[in-house]
Amino acid sequence: MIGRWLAVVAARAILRAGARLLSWLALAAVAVAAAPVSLVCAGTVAVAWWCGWLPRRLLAAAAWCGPMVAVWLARIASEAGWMAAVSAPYHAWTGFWRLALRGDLPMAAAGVAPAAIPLGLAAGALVWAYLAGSLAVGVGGLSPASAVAFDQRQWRHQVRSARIRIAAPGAVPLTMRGDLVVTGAVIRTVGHQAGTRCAIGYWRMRSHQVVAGTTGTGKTTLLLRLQAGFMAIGLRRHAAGMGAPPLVVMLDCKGGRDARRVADEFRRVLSHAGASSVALWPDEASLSLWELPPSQLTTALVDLIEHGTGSAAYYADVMDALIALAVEAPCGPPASARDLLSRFEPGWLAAAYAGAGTAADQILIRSESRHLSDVSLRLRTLFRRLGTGLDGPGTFGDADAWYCMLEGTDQIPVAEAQARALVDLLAHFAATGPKRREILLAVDEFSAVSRRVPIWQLYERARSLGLAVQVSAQSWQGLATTEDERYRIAAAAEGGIWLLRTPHPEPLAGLAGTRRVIDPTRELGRFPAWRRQGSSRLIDAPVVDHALIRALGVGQAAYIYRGGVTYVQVKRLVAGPAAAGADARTRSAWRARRPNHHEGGARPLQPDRPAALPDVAPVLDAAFGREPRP
Amino acid sequence: VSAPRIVAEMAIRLAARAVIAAGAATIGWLAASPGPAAPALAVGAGTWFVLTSRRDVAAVIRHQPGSGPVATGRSRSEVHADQDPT
Repeated sequence: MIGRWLAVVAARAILRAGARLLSWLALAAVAVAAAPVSLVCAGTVAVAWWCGWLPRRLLAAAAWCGPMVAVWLARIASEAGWMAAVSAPYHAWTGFWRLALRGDLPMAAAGVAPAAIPLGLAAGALVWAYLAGSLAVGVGGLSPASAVAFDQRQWRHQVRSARIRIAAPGAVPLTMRGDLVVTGAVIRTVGHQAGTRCAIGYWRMRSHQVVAGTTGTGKTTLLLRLQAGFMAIGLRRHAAGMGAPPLVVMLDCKGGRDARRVADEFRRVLSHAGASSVALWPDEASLSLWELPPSQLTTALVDLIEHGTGSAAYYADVMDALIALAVEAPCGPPASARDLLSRFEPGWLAAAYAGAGTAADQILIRSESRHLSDVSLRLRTLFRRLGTGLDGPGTFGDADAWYCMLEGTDQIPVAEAQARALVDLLAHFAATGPKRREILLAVDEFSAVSRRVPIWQLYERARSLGLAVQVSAQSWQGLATTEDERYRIAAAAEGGIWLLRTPHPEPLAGLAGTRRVIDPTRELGRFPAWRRQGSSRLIDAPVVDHALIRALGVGQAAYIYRGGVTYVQVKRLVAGPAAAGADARTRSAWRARRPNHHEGGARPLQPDRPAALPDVAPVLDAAFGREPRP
Repeated sequence: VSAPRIVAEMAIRLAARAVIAAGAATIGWLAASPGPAAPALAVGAGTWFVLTSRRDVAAVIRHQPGSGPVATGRSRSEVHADQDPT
């Protein structure tokens, strides 16, 4: 009985092995018989694997063989009739073997090529789709780990292909038809349309965006490219009468020597993109806080001075009232910091309001005049921090692009005050500027000033002002001070999120959402062999692979938009040396056209402003308590 | 990288592709003549040339890299800042 059972088992095993051998032999026979198609198919799969292509690309290549096949069939039909054209592939196949067996391989290959190439490409697409698909879902390969290895290998191949694409000069233009800004070569897409170049529409640049990535990952390079694309397309649209002229304002909140280098690159890149003038603040250009209307100027000045809480709130109210009196005096608003400070001299306010002020003004001046010197000291400290760059003259309308350098690395309170003032000025310019502009405000290293600049408030009212905000930070935590504000900023990024390498991508990557994928299982036979049998289920997997974000190389970014992600190898913009001459011309033009705010004559870019005001911080600390530090 | 250099490199690539396509068409024509595959292979080579070179052709004709000029009328605006590999 046992012997009979063993015989049956052995017979079944032999039959199974024989059937498998026969099927392999049949497949090999077909492959040999259709040798031209098989060769093209094998070559196609090898190239697709090596380059990390999608099967769709192979199918497109097969479709583009249409003209060749059409000419081939038309020629046959004209010589031997339409019936011959129908049987042409068969005759080409038999003719191939006849010539090949005769030893005339070149003629055999050429004769069968019009049929073999498209068929081979199509077969290659099917084979590659099967291989990649089975490995992607984890059922292909010797073990489930094969899927991981295959994915990592394909990522490397796709990165290599993308790098080759961007290395060719001119292969990745800055802009494309349809008002598209091209950022680089596509490595891989999930939930987005696959293509060779990553291009985003101009209207997305007109929406808020977030850029996050650690130092040295290519964040500034990406920002420069986006800004240059925005400028180029904005100018083209303006020239075509389709929109207002563009204005790019970059707040570099880290400062230092590196900021000067980036500023130089910014100037050259934006000049090449078409900007007629690029201003570097505060090194070469200035803005005027005094352009603000009196009531707004009062609010801005009071907001710029940090207040304490508790009993200090009383002094804040006193300061607010006195600054309002000085700014909104009957003789007109101040024209400079020195002008404003002179109004806090004893007797000035009383004299100014002597004939025109209300009774309430007179009472306030009499009762609170003892605080004038204290407020003056606080204002002196503020103006020292703001520097001379905000003491005018100048508005954002004087240039097409502004690069504002804030010393956020070593002078955080200074950078915070400057950023706050610049954002206020820009919002005022956007709302009441002499002509409408399409504005892109980019804030680089936002974490340096995030404590004092409530950017999400600007986010929410920016669209009505024609202003788009691009916030960049080194990490999720650098986006804002509280988790709520971070989510507000990220969730309002309608233009998309650019994620570069960062060790904590989860919050931003999570905004891409999830997708339904097949989660298969495979039975483990005797280790290390896995069987093909198993089960599968649908699960929600993250659209953005967190591990991939953590491992991104320099210049690689993930663009998250509407539940999909495109991994991009960003193409770096390098302006040519010709821009250097243009810089000089721009600077000369800047100097020539900017009148002196006070005297009406030409003024140098490094103005002869009064010397820096003395540091009165100790006196102020004694009077109002220590200033809170970030 | 200056725009003229980019255009020059594109022209070189365009010429190389033209040589390859012409060579493939010639070899195919010689090998397949007088059969019906000869003109088909020439058409195939031509299709490959057109598909792979259309951007280079457009750039060389317009004397600029990329696919669209910044027609603002401003100095140098026709030249995009382009480009070195990352």
